[in-house]
Amino acid sequence: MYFDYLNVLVFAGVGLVFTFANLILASIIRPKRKSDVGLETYECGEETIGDAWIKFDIRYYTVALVYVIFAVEIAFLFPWALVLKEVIAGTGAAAGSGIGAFIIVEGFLFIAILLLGLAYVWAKGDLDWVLHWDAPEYQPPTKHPRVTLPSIAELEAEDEADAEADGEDGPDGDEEAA
Amino acid sequence: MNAYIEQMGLIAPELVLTALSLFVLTWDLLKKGRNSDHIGYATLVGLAVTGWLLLQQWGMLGDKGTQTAFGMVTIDRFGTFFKLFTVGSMAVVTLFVMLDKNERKHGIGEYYFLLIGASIGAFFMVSTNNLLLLMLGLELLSLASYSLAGFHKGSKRSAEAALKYIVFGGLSAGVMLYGISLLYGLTGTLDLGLMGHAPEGSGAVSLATQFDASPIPVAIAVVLVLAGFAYKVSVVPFHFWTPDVYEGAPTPVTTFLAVGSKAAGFAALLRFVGALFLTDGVDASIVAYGDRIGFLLAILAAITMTLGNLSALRQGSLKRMLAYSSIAHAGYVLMGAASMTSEGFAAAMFYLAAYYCMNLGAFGFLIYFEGVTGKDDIDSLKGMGWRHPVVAWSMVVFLVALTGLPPTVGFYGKLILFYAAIDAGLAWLVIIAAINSVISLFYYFRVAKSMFLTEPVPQVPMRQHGLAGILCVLAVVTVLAGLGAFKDPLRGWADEGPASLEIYATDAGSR
Amino acid sequence: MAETLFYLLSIGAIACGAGVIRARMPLFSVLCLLGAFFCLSGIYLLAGFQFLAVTQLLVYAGAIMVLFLFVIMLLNLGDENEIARQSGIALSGKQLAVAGTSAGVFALIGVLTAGYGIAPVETASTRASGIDELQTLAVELFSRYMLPFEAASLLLLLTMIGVIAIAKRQRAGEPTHTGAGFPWTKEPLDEESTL
Repeated sequence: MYFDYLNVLVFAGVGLVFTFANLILASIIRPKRKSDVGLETYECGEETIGDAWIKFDIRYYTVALVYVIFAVEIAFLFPWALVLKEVIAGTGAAAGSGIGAFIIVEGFLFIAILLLGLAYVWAKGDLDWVLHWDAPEYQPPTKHPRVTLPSIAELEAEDEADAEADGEDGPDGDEEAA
Repeated sequence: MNAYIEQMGLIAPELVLTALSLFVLTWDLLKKGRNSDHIGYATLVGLAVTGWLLLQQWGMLGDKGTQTAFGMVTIDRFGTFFKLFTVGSMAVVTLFVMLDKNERKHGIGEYYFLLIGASIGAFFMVSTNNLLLLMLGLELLSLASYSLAGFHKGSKRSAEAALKYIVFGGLSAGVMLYGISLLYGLTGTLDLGLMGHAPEGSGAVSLATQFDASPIPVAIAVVLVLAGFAYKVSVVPFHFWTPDVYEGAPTPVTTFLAVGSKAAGFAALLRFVGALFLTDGVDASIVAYGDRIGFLLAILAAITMTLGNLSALRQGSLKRMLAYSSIAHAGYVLMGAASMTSEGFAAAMFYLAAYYCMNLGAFGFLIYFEGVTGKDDIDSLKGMGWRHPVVAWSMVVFLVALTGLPPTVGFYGKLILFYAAIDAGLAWLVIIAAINSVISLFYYFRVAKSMFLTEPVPQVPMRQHGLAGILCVLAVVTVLAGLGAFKDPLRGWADEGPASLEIYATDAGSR
Repeated sequence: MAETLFYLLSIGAIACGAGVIRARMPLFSVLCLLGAFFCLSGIYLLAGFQFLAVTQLLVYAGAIMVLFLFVIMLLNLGDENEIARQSGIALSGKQLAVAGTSAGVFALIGVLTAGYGIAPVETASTRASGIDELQTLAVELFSRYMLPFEAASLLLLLTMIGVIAIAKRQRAGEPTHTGAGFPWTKEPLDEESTL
């Protein structure tokens, strides 16, 4: 029995060997120089900002859940496809048992019930990636008003004003303008 | 082909419920979250149709005897008895949902859908001899209950209840599935009837044969399945989830968990034990083993009722107290199963019928009380009796019934349970149960005392509650009071149950 | 060879299972679980249940694993201690342990009630049903087991609705309750997620 799957085993074995052999080989022959740049996530790309451990949105979960349900459906429909072929061709055990029509109805009923679930998710807006239903109107934040870049003349005037005032507010103002 | 259509007629109640659930879901989608009460009314109509079909079936079963549909669903009076009570309790729970002041009125169509789904699960659980379908029914019931327990999304307690329920539920389902797979491996069949007695040529090996060959694997399998049931009905080593889940879940859901879900669990347990150990045709060796399982159940019953009652004594919250009280009652019902006789089973069925009424009423009172005060602790009950006399007196009736005092159905239920247990030689268990009833008097009386004997607290806000709520509770009270007079027919129905189980066994033997 | 493979896979599955509960990083737990699924799939294959093996990989190793990963990312956890802290819910590991142990003790009691002496178990031949061929399985599934098959669709639907009903974000303007509020409903709703 298990011999039927020897090719699968060999395939898996070759896959594993290929992966790890390359990794081990690389670790043997590559030069080992430690530097701060080398330890970064992307050695020669964008600088990373923050942590990768961010909280995912619940919508990912919803979509994954729907995916699971329909993966199970596919698993059930696979044998159905086999029987269906026989029923339509009128051969085999399925046709012989005299319940051919029933089998077709069963399968469609199964799909229909699950499609109702899809309709539910759809109608409730869980498939919409952009949340648009009762989302409040976008309000520009009041705390940090939009920065309009000042002209050179204004900047110069500001610098003069800063020089007159005490130095406390100076750096802040400069940063914002920049 | 025609045979299939004929068999569809046998599972008509299940089909109606399924259609109802799909209809409710579709309607909810089309209505887009407007007032959900219409969906509640639709549910009630559907449940009424189901109930009518079940009554027809009850009559039909008298004429034709036990029927089997699709080789898995056993239509017998035992199952129909529980189905009728499931439908009844579900209708009351639906009313509770509609009248609950702490529940929103819009966009809760899923609530009804999940409730109906849970009752379909309960239907399959109580009326199948096939362990595969039993497990599916159990999972339908459990999954619906998990989501229902966490239905109040904004509430941390509700979320905690759902989480605890699903973690414990997953563990117990795993344990039970392990037992079922062992049973399948040992006997080569999933049918309980064939496990009890496998005729030549059925391709199955009876459990007795395997037991004679080697008792230990059989024992492990049986006990693991029993552990799964014990979780569902919250018998002591598996009761930890009960108080927290009952407390955190929305109160109508708690009502359903305490009444419908638990009774379905007991029905499946009785059927399982009955089919394996009690029915005609099972071998003597396994019957002797069944007696030992009965002894194990008796010990569990004693521990369960004692622990439940002692814990209930210390609770400040009425909801939590009722949760522990329901654990204690699981112990009483288990006495019936432990006696391992047809009388014991009938007594357990009768007591469950009584339990439906008493607990629906008690939880209905809780919903009313929460609607009035927004609290669920016993101290806030002060003065309830003077300000809401009708409701309070109804509650007193439920409390009397829960304690098991005459003239209520609770008293009669306990009486026949005790008789059955004494007949089965479990006098020690009866003594423990009697002591427990006395203990339970204290905490039930505390509620009554709080309602009537203490001065009303002036700052308790009094809000006019819907008249419908009172009527609803009153209806249950009427049933309860009436049962004292109509107990003989009910007793007769309960006696039909074990009888129908045994009739099925002889059928299985001759097949 | 089959026996050796079986024992290898079993040991692998148990080791991975132990890894799931031993790993401190939830992601490692998930990886261990993945390993356990692969081992189980191999065992099914050895027993001749090809369809079950493929389904195991497709559904568990594929879909369910993705779900687990999303949940872990949803909770935003570094290690297990964070779970209790962040969600504010004690996972009641002690109670769970007691429940699990009781199941074991229960099994032991079962052994004691059965008496002593162990004999090799003659298991009933499950092969008699001929379930190992997918064709046979298909015909059985749609004729003898049609009721459980349809019940499974209902189960899937119910799960989907139930989970989405409690998992999805509370929409703006959708009150949790009306009427008298419990103390715990007064607390402001967590906007990020409600799980």
